[in-house]
Amino acid sequence: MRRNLAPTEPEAFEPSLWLEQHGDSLYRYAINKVRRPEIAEDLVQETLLAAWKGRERFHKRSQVRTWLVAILKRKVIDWLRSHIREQKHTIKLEDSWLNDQFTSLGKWREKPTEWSPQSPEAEVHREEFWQVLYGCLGKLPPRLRDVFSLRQLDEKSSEEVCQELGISASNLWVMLHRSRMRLWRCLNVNWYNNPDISTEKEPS
Amino acid sequence: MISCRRAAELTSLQLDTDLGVHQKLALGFHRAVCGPCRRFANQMREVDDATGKFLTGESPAHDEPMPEEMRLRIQSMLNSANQAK
Repeated sequence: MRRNLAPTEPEAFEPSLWLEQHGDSLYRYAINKVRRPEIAEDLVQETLLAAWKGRERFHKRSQVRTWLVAILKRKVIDWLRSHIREQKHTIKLEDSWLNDQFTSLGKWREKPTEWSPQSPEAEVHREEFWQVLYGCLGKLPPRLRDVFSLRQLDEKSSEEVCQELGISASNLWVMLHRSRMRLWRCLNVNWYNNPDISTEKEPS
Repeated sequence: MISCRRAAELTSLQLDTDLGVHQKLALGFHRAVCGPCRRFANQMREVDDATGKFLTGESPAHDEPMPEEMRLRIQSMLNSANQAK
């Protein structure tokens, strides 16, 4: 049985104990963002080492897991940022998937329809919804997913994110838009399951 | 009037930054007469909120525990680091 030690006890600072008690949570946190097991492993490992080295700075009133997750979050952001920078290539001007969503006149090919009241906020659906969303994120092209995840995780302004990634604001917004459109369409099909065509009149 | 495609782009952009006056007016006018784009704007906001919660929380979706071999590798690395201190 796993022990629940107060962080003030000396043993609570042992990284092995953190691994035993919080390893699964840390791994899940990392894998959901980076989606590459070997990277998640490195990040969890680095987090435990960094926490060990910085244990003097641990506030005794905090929860150990909250503290570890905060360290891991920084590591995930740093990894995403440097990975995106390394993979830097020019963004394709044309996005055939996005083009297919609209007619040549820019009207919806398949208009957004009402989403059923199967709200992801409802307790009974939440876990299943997260699974679907995880799957939809997995279907994004990796570069779009990395940029989108970084934008969501990092609390910095768009301008700062652009500077760090060495990309223009318009490139960032194009990538975020492409990601959101794909996520929206994926959830529409896989969660709301609502393919019927709206009968509302289009604007002229 | 702007197209639905442009309205979708501005809807997405609005989640990241403040729109300029012209963009706001164009989008507002389009939405006033386009039901699907009004609906899209609400749904896009829901998608953004949900992914924000998912990515910033301790994300419950991936419920597999850490693979045992991985745990052993990390444990072994921690032991080495402990001996080296």
